[in-house]
Amino acid sequence: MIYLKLAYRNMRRSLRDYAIYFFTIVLSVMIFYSFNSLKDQPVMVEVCRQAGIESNIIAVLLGFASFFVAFIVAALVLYSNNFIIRRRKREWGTYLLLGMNQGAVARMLFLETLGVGAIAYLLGIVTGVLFSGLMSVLFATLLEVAFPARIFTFSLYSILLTGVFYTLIFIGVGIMGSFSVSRHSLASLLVANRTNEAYKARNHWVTVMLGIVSLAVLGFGYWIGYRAIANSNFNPMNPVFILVAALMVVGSFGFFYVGLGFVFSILCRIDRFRWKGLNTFTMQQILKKVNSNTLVLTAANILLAMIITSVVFLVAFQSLLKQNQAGALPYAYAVLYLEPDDVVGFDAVANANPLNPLLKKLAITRYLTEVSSSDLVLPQDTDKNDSPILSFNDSCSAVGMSEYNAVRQAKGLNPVNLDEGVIAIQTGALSQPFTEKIQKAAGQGLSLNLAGSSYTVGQVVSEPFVSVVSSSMCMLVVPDEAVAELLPDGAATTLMYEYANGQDPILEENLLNEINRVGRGYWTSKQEEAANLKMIQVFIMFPGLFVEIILLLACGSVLGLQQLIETVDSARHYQGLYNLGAEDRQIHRSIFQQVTFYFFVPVALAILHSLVALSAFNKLLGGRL
Amino acid sequence: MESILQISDLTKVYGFRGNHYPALNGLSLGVGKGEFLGVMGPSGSGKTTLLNIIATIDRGSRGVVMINGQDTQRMRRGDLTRFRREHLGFIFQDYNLLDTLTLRENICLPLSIANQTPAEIKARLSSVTQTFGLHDVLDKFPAQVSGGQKQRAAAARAIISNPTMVLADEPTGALDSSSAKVLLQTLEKMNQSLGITILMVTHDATAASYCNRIVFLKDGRIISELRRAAQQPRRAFFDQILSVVALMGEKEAE
Ligand SMILES: Nc1ncnc2c1ncn2[C@@H]1O[C@H](COP(=O)(O)OP(=O)(O)OP(=O)(O)O)[C@@H](O)[C@H]1O
Ligand SMILES: [Mg+2]
Repeated sequence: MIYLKLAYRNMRRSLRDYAIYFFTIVLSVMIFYSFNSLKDQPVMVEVCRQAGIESNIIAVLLGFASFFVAFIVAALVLYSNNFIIRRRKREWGTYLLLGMNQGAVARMLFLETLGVGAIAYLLGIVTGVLFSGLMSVLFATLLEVAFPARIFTFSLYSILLTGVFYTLIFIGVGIMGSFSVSRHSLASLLVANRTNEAYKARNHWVTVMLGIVSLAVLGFGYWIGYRAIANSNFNPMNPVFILVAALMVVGSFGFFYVGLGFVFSILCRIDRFRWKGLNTFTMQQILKKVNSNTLVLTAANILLAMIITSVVFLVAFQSLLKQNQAGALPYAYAVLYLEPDDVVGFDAVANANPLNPLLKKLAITRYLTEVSSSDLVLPQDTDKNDSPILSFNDSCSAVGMSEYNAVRQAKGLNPVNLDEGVIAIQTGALSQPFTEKIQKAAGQGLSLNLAGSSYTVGQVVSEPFVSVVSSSMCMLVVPDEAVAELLPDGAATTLMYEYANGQDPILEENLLNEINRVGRGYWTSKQEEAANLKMIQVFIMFPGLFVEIILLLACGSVLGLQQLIETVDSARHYQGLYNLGAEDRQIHRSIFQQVTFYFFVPVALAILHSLVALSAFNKLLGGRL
Repeated sequence: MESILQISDLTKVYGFRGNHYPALNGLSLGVGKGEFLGVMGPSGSGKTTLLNIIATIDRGSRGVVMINGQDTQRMRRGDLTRFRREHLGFIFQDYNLLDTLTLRENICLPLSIANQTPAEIKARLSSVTQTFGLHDVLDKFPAQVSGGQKQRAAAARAIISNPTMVLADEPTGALDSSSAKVLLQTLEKMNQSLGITILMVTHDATAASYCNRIVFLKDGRIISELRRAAQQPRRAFFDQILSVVALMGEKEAE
């Protein structure tokens, strides 16, 4: 049959086009599958189990991102489909000319797309399983989670979801393709390859103005973002970050859309540069690509910035936490949130142990005060957008100096000595700007009122105290006699135990039994603290990074695909340049420059974003990052 | 007259294994410096093939092509590029201008490729824009100008590097008759006042009548030749061309 033979020959001739199409679909299936299988990943399941969280919650948390992924993946398929349609219009024109009717051509196209799609789907699932398994290994290593027994997993849910999603896309794509065959006149199909899109030229001054505006927007975003992170107590829920995100997106978009044109139009003023080799051609080529892909470039750039920031932050923060955690709990075991009366019972349990002579113990009780966090800083330094954990309306608790110093001594730190009428303030380790504000107020003679007497602040100590998790609380250290005037703050007594020769599982069990008996108290230990911290990090970082990397991969593949398609499409231009006497070397260099520049610009801008964010976090943590 | 192009016994065979098709069949041709040569012939007679070989974009299967005393059939790819840059200019039917560059940048491209200094480029540019009357459209993009202007820009690009010879494959093919006339007059002026050798493939007898010699190709061979006599009016030359074309058509019919 002549049609079949024709189709086969055409297919062979456009093998490269088909390969591009096919691998794009494979890649997109892989991305979609990996994203949706996150909640079934063994590492994730294990993390959720340890944290005691239902792993389905991940799907809920990622609701928004999943729309984004679906959108990008659909765009990827549509884009590559458009490419194949564009490349094959000529061929369809020939079929029509040969007398094949439009319905038949459309049907052929539809079946072809479906066939390629089905094979790509299967291959995509397999690569998705491999990819997400490898990602899990990477994260398990990075976050120091124990490896699960199984690395690779077939997530039935995601396989089905991917199947349904792609069926829908392919039906859409098939209908679109058939439309585009029947909508076009024969003549326009036959000359399809020759027409190239009209190139829009922009007004020079508009470019300059918009370029300056977009840089200003970016700078403004940096400024507010930096202040929101570094200058008050960092609160991730601060609504100002929505504004910052919007400014970053708008600014980056503007930079790609006009900023680059602005830079190039300046470069074009320099004759020595402009008239050298293929420079002008290369610049205009880059500009054309950047301009027509601004949205994707912006998304890739922002995602890249998020990934760089979170990875650097994660790595640095982990070592920071390790240091702090080492000094947080002086003894192996602690029971928090007890009533002062409970102490006797717990001491009895501890003393009943055969190792009793080696027992070391500490007790510390917090007392209620009228002082709130906002009293500790100057009025102009209060910020209504501060963290809810550290709301300025919280009242501060107080501890007696001798109990406090006993804990410090157990940690091997110098005691704090307070004169008559002087107190100290203990802040957490993780809010340096807040500590600085208190120091500033103290330097200006801050005085506080406790049970009718007035005290000045002699010293501000910034360190985690007892538990890292709650270490950002601030606490007043007051002379012992002042404590006598205050009321205990509910269940606010903490007990700490350890045997001089190390840990003892029997003590651990007995203490837990006692907690059950009195029906109060929160158990923790050095080991527990470490595990808790890790859970928090893992739970925050793992899904976040996983999603960011997948999204970046999605954006990256859109950009890569466009590069590839663009190069294939402009083969005619390169032949033209060769005819004009351009050497192969010059042409290759131009292509290389286009590709590297195209990828380098979003990366460079992303690095700039991350540097600003990281330097703000560094300020927040007092230069300890 | 000093010879600039000397082709002897050029053969070009397309296809492979028993499936040969000779597009050029032992063709010989000499072109003198300063000639305006037209190449005519029915479709498939090998005109584009001949032009591409002269342009060093393609190679012949047998035979010798000497341009300015150099045998282009025996040059390496790198040398060919340099040779093309220094000796040849091209005008294509579909202009082949880069749509992202302004006409100014398009016209100057061969010079920037050859790494000329900005001062030289500027000087050359102002001289060719004068010849082609492109002053007002230099900073426009190809999509913003007419077909005739595009083709004149392409012609300007072809001569900006002072080539020994300009090759044009149906340069008026996509133009309406008045734009075609402007282009042809400019080519004629280029040939007469600047002494540039031009080799133009065309189907159109009107276009051919601007030349001073015409060779007729058929089945890869030159079957006839016409030379415009000194002072011969273009109209008379045109009639002469038409009669040769008609004669060839009759032979075809037999
Ligand atoms: N790349 C190729 N492969 C095989 N055959 C070719 C190739 N290029 C040209 N031919 C054949 O060589 C012959 C001469 O082609 P050429 O393009 O030189 O003709 P032409 O005189 O320019 O025709 P037209 O006036 O239609 O442009 C034609 O029969 C053509 O089919
Ligand atoms: Mg031809």
